[in-house]
Amino acid sequence: MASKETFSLEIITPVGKLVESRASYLSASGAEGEFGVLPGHIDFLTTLQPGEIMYEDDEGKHYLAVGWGYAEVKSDSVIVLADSAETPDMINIERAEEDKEHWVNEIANLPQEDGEVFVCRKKLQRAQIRIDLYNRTKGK
Amino acid sequence: MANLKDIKRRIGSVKNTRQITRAMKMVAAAKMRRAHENVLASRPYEEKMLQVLNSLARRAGDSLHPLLEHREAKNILIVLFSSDKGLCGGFNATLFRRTNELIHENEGKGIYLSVVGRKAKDFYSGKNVIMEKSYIDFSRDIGPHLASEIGKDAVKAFMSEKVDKVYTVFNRFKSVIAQEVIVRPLLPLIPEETDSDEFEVDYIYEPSAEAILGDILVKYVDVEIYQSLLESWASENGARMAAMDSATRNAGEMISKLTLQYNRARQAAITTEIIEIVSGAKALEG
Repeated sequence: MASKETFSLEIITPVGKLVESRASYLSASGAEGEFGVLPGHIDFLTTLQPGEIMYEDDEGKHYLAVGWGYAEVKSDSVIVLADSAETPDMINIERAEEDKEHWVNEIANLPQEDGEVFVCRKKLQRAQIRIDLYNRTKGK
Repeated sequence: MANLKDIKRRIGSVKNTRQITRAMKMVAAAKMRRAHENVLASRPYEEKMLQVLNSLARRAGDSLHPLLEHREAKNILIVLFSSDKGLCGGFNATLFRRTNELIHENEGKGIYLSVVGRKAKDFYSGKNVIMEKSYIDFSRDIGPHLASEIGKDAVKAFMSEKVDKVYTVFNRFKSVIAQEVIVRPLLPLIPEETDSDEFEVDYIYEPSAEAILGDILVKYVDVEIYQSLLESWASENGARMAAMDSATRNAGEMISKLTLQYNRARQAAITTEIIEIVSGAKALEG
């Protein structure tokens, strides 16, 4: 993989720089669906949906669960700012399962029209993303 | 000359105080170290976000988003970051002094205050300001959650045109021993002028520039407040550490002064006793 073209990748969260490396491929879910980035991509700015980011570097594929954020793509660099980002190793699976249960109950208890439901769904979605990622990369 | 027992008691009490201040200093130092790490960790996030925001806002102009809108300032909101507890030197005093200046500059306008920390609430309640919101006992839940709560309230006040300008006032963490009070206009957001249009690239936006701008703007307010919270918390503990350090030193000085006094008094007592014995013996001889 050594001679592959790469771009610089930074993933920054409020608790610090999580990733600073050179990657050859990145995929993430943007505001209008999944997108992939290869070196030489056109300049591009998008908000991110809570979801997964996958990037590939010399060591192989890496997966991250991210919350709200945005990505700034240039031909030779990608900067992702996310309010939360976790590698599978950082995910506390018990906590995620608990969260999921909590928000499922919460949603069941709220009236359908309530604005809170929307917020709860988002939180549930985040927990689900963590669980999915964990199970796929760590589980059997 | 004071009685021996009294001096001894005073030495004991000062020693106790010194122990307490020393312990408080250690605690503050540990908290500050952690807070400092957090401040440093989140700075790049804030900077990057501001960068993108500036470039977006510049392109968009100030009419595009309600949070960028300039209005004549009739009412202003000041978000003030103080501490819950005292014993942190001039931390709160300098903060209030600067805030009073700001209030003075805006005389005649409606002043709303949103305060973080009990000290500011106590200081400004009953003053000629409107206490909009107060967040008390915050030290346990410093985090993005608290920041977004404060942010949401500020944005709401601005959007509903209850206030036309929002400032934050907080202590910025310069170094372990130095803090600096910063007054920062938060809303409306003023895009910075860059001197050179360093390769202003035009991006492809998804969904659209306006939508992204709106999204990022709201987020940016939270991030800005989060950063202020962290800075203020680190500064508070830095200030407390310095204050407790000098208190510990002062107690040490006091102890040595009192010990000297105690020894002198003891010496004097012994001398008097000897004189009494000698003159008693002399009297018997005679």
